[in-house]
Amino acid sequence: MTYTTTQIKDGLMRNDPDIFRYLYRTHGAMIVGYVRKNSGSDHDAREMVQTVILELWNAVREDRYQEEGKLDRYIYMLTANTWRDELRRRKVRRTDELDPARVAVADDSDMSIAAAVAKDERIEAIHHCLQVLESPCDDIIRLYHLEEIKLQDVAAQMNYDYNNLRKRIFDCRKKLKKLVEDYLQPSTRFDL
Amino acid sequence: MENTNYSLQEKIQSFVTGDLDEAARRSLLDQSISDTDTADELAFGQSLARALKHSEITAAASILSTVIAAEGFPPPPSTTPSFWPKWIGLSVVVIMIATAGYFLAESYNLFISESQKIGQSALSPLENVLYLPVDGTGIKDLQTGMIAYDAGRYAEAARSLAAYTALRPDPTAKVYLGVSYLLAGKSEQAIAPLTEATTSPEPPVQEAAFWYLTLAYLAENQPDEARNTLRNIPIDGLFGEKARALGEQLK
Repeated sequence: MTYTTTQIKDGLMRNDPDIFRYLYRTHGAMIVGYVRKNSGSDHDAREMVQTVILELWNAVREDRYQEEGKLDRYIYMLTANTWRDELRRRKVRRTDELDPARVAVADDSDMSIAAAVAKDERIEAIHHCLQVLESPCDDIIRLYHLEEIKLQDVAAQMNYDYNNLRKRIFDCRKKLKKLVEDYLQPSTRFDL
Repeated sequence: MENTNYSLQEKIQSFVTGDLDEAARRSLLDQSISDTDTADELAFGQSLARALKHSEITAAASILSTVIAAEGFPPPPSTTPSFWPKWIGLSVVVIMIATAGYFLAESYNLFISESQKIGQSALSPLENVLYLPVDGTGIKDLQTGMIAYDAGRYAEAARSLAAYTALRPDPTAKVYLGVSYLLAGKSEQAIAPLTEATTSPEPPVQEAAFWYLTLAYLAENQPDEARNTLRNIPIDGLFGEKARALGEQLK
C-alpha cells in the first residue's frame, strides 16, 4: 500500500503504527545502506533508522516539513545530515580519555532529542514501565521528576510526611529502575 | 543497587534539572568516574528526565521499535526506488531523448538556415575535366586525389589534393580541392583554396572557383558574402544560368 505525503503527515501526528511500518519498509533499506556505505555498523544503522524516522516525526509535529511530494529527498537529506553529525560528534568526543559513563551523562547538549531517544534504550523502557508502575508511585515520580516540584511541595500536595515522602520517592524510583532493567533483559526486547 | 543515600539522589535530581552549581556538578561527575553505581544512577536520572519531558516522541519511538521488531532488521529492500536512482534514471532518459532528438533534427536539417539549405540544394560535384600530367612534382598526389574524387571519397581526395597544391600553385587543382572540402562537409576549409583559384587567368577555372566559393559561403551561413561572390559570375559563362537561378533564390 502506498500513502500520500498528506496521509503520512496525518499518520505521524496520531502515531499510527501503519505509517511507521510503511516508512520503515519504504525508506529503512536506503538509510541502512547509506550508513553501511559510510563506515557505520549494523548497530549504527538501526539507530539511524530510528533517529531519521523520529526526526521526520518531529519535523511534521513542529510543522517544519513542507516538502510536499518530495519525501524521498527529504529523508535522504535527513539521513546524510544526521549521520554526518554523528560522525562529527564521535570525532570530537575523545572517548579514549573519558569514562563512558561520564560521557553518557555529560555529553548530550549537541544531540537532538530524536537521536537521544534512539540511542538510549532506557528512555523507551522507562516510558513503557511508567505505564505499569502502580499508584501512587507514578504520580510521585511525575510530580517530582517531570514537573520538578520540590519535595516539600509534593509532600504538602499529597498530604505526606516529608521524611516519609523522601523515602517513598526513592523507593518508587528504585522500583521503576528494577522494572526497566527487567524490561531490557534480552528475552523481553528486540536485539540485532 | 541498594541506594538509600537520599542526599545523592537529590543531588542527581538537581544535576538533571540543571540546578546544581558548577563545583557540585564537577564533583558529582568526578564521583561517577570512580563509582559505577553513581554513574549508573546519573545515567538513569537523565534517561528518566528525558522520558518524562519528551513523552510524545518516546511514545513514537516505542511504536517504531515494535514495528522494527516485528518487521525484522535489516529492513527489506525498498519497494519504491529511492530519490537518487529515480532521478538518475529520469536524467538518463531525458538525456537519451534529447540526444536522439538532436541527431534526428540534424539528419533532417532542422538546424540549418534557409540560405544554407539553398546552397546545399545547388551543390553538386564538378565534373572531372582536369588534365593529368604524367610526371612532375607531386603528381602522384594529384593522381591519387582525382581517383578518390571520381570515386566520391572527398575527404581522401582533399588530403591528396592539399598535398599536391602545397607543392604546385595549380589553380585548377585548387578548385577541385575546394570542391572536395565542400562535399566532405568542411566548407570553412574550402574557402581559402577557392579564393586563391578565383585569380586564375583561365575563365572556366575562375568561374568554377567563384561558383563553388559562393556555395562555400552559403554553407558557412554567410549569405552576404555569397551574394557578392555570385556577382562575379558572367551571365553567359559556364555557370551563368545556375548563378542567375541561385541569385533569384537568395533575394
